[in-house]
Amino acid sequence: MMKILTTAGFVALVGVLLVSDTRAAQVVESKIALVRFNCEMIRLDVRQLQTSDALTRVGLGRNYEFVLGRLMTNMNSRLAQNQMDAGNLLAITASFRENLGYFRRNYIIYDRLISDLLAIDCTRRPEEFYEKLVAARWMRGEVRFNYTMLNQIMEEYMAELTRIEEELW
Amino acid sequence: MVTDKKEKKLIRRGRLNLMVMLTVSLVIASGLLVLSMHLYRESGAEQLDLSRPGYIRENVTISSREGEREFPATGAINEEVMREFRELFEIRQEAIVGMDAFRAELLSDSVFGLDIDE
Repeated sequence: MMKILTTAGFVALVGVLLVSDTRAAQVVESKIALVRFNCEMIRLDVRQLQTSDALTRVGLGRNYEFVLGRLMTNMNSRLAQNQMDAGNLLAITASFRENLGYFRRNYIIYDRLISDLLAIDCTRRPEEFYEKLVAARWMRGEVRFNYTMLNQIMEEYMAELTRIEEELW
Repeated sequence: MVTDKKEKKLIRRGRLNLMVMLTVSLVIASGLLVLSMHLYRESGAEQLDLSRPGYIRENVTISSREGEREFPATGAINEEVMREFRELFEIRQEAIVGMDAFRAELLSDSVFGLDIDE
């Protein structure tokens, strides 16, 4: 009896998985059909996004470089000159520099994926276009993660500076 | 007669030399072009190059924001200095956070009209 129940359960599970797989495949097929239908509109939107992303990247880069090179580094060396312990600030600055490197690298990969995406003729090759779109979306998530991390590190820096201030005054 | 032949030979050689020089120049120039384009792409400079078509107008907007004060690397540390640093830092921090950059939804299926109930 137990064996029959186990077999029935297994068959039911396989059935559910097959149905959900078929359903997922149908959804992807529908999306691909929509890609082919809305091809030019999608390409236009992606192109505009690429332009605005490039401007964001340049603006962010300038601000990050300024924060690292003209603020954090200068404050660290000024504290050191005044014989103050800035060990934690140095560690936070190093972490900021490292994450800025990740941000730069990941943005390059992301931008290349977007350029590759725009090079695909989505009326003729909608499957490939959609695959690349999914990959670019994933990479955008990575860049967003790097951006969030850098912002978090900046907050850590200010929190540490506040702690130093409280010790001093 | 002999002089004529020599002259013709010299002219031919001159032409040949000219052709060789032009070809070598073109090959070297092409090689350098390929190398520089490779470096331009691989270094990430391409992504930061706002002189590309379509970006030039926006470049003006970004350039005008420059020229802000930086924090001096030398000098005493006191409350006034800390306040000054905090102000400079917060200006940058607000600018960065305010960008709310690379939001996922801008590349989502719904933006492109591809959202189908799954």
